[in-house]
Amino acid sequence: MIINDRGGQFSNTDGLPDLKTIELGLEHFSSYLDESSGIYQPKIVKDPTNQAGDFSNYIMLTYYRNPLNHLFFNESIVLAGIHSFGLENEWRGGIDSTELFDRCCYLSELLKYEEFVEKRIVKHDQIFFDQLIDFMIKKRVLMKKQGEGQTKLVLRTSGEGQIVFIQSLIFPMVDSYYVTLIYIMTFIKNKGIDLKRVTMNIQWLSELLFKQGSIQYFESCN
Amino acid sequence: MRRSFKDDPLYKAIFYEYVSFMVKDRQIMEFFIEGTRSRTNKILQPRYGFMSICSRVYFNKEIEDITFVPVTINYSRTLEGESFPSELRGGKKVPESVSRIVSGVYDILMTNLGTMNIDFCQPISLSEYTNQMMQRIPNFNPFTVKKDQMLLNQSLAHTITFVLQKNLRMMPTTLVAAMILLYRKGIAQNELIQKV
Repeated sequence: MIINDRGGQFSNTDGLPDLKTIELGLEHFSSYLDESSGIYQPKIVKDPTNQAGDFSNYIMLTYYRNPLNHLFFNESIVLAGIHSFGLENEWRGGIDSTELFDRCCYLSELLKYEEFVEKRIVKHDQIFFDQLIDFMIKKRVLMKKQGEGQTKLVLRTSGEGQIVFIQSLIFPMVDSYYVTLIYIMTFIKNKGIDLKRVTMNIQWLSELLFKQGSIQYFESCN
Repeated sequence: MRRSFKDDPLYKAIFYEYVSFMVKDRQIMEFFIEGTRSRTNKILQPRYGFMSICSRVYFNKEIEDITFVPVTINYSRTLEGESFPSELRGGKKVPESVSRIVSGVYDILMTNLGTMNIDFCQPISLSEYTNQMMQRIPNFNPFTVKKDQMLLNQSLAHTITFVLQKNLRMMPTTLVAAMILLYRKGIAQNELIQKV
């Protein structure tokens, strides 16, 4: 339903996915998934060179998920922006819309090469941002809250499912930039880095941080 | 055609003339506006090269119009997709070759690759598009000003790409992958159906 709401189209002509859709999807992914007692999860392949295992199937599943990212891209920027104010503010205290707009513009500019979308959040188009916030309120992702003489925005508890889903589309991208930035900071001390190896080194660092649990999504490692 | 012909002016000139001839001759041509296969399965920024060769024929007034028909092709599974995770993690691209195709024929025939949806979107007339831009932007003239011609090519390429994006179909694999990645510790089939 949330895909329909954002203009997404399905492969069948009926307009909505059905049981057959799921069965087909699971059939195609049989080599990427583990199934035990009817529970499905991404398959982590045993790797003799790596105790934690090989997580390549996460990348494969991400490849298949990516076509729906653009539908949620601007909303995911807003949610990541809201998250930057901290848990207490995003769920209870509330966030000032003007401050949120500034942070969203920054994030949108940073991630502009990640998704090619028709409309994006930009400094000179506050109207689009306001319309987006209204849409998110209408779709029960956000709500307005009165406090300290001004209207603030908070996440809606009943919309948690949607919120977690939309955020899961953007956080891997944000983490990729985070890892890259950390690696670039090592240039300050280490002047002898071979530029040809930079990408491979960032790849290595991101996989290491994932194994250590510092980053949550293996999709960030590509 | 070659992937790049920057260093070969003769090849470039012949290619330009050949494509221009085909446009003038009103031949149907197919090209991929993203210029390459997306390794992430996301829509890429369009490339302007091929389209600008075609549109130049129109701006030189050698043909009265060109019609672009955006076509989307959506697959349940991507044949060469298995090599992408390795490439995305820094592995080398496996070069395309006839021997690779021949050795993969058995796998291709034995694998269920699911369904494919082909959508032909609303055709876009270059002359109409140009007229609209000329009406909208004061002093805009792609017939005489090279910069305006480039601007129009970029705008049209973006419009075509957004049409393609709007007509993307969410395949069963897209939906199931989205849910499995959301519940990566495990999800039951009936719950998966409900969530999708």
